[in-house]
Amino acid sequence: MEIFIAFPCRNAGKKALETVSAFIAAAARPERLRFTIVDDGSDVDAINDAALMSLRMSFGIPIAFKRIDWGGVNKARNAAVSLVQDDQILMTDCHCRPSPGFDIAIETYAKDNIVLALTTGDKTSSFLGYGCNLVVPFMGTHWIRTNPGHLAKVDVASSAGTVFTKALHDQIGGYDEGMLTYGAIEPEFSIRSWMCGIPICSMPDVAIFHKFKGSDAINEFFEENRTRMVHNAIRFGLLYLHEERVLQMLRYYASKFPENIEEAMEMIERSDVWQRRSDLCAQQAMTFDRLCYERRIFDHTGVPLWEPVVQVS
Amino acid sequence: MDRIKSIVQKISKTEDGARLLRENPKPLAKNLDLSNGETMALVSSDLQIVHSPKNPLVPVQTITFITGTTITAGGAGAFLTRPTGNNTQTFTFDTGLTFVATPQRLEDLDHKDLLEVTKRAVEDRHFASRLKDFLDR
Repeated sequence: MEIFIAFPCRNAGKKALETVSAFIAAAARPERLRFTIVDDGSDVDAINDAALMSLRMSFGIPIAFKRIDWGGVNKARNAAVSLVQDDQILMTDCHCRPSPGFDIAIETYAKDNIVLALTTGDKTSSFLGYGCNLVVPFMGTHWIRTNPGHLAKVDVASSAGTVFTKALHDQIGGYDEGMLTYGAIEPEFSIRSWMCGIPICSMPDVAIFHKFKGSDAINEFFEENRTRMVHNAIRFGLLYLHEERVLQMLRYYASKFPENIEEAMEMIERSDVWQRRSDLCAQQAMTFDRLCYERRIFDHTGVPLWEPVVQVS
Repeated sequence: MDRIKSIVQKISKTEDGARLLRENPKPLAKNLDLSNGETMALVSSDLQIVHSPKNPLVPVQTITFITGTTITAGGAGAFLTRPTGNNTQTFTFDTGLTFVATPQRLEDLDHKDLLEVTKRAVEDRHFASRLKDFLDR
């Protein structure tokens, strides 16, 4: 069985090639690895064709590569999957390296009816996240810091380590292309997977070590992308939450990001969110409330999401 | 679905809708013809907004002690609790709502919380930095 390592990269050509080398070095049977990389409209440090060719020659491993106009990680991830014929896909990020023997574990446990959530590690600390919990009305995630056990079900697989087959990706519907560039994209994919009846299962023993941004880079990244990220979180909520929770989510974002909320709402107005909500409603095997009940998802204050909002008299 | 769409579109079209949503949701709720339940859900959502405590000695998880009880903070900063247990701790949150957190020094923590705070400080550089700033203040 072949395993496709798929990831998007933007303005990180050198790191992308280092990532390929790191996965090959960590694999027990590197000859079965295949790579599919999508350059998401890099302005600088695009992948160098000669360096890519050199990497292909030195390892003798197929590396599919595609350049697209900048469309965000959702479109880049979908484009990467489109280059795969079949088999298992490990969707990851640039700047990553896996734990040794990751390929054997994937081959052993990956199936046609589950998505695997690999553990995310930090290259510079002892941090380990065993998948994530969904947090409402933030519509974001918190890391699971305690080992939940082998193949334990978790809400969300992280962007650095999500394993699925191409068939599952297509069944889930791919990453939502109505999202904008970054934020909420991978959590929404996981939640939609659950709602299609495909659980997310943790793999505590297989880690993908990620280079987390430092605080300056994070701040710069957020400054650049904040409004789109607020839009994405609101879109995520509008796709699944009921009225009371939608109201709370909007108030949450209006309070947390007063400078971004109006523009984000305008983006929502111009989007296909209502049509998509309607389509998803018709297609899904499970309602969001049912998922919250089964996964025991609570809001920030500990109120069960599957019950009516607590009223204060 | 149509109702959610209608509510969201009305908020977008309301002049100053985002500010009302943030600061004065009751009149907005009236304009939106929200039901009593929806109005209460909206106005009682402050605690969800202030879920991140400023005092690093108050673990975020502590908030979960309210599970099953009703606790919220009014938009103007008033603090309303309807506790079902003996939890009377109050907190200071990032958004400026004023609560007073009980633990002010590491010595105020019990053994379990001290271990938790220490573990987080070792694993999370940002938390360690917040903790140092708080203890050095």
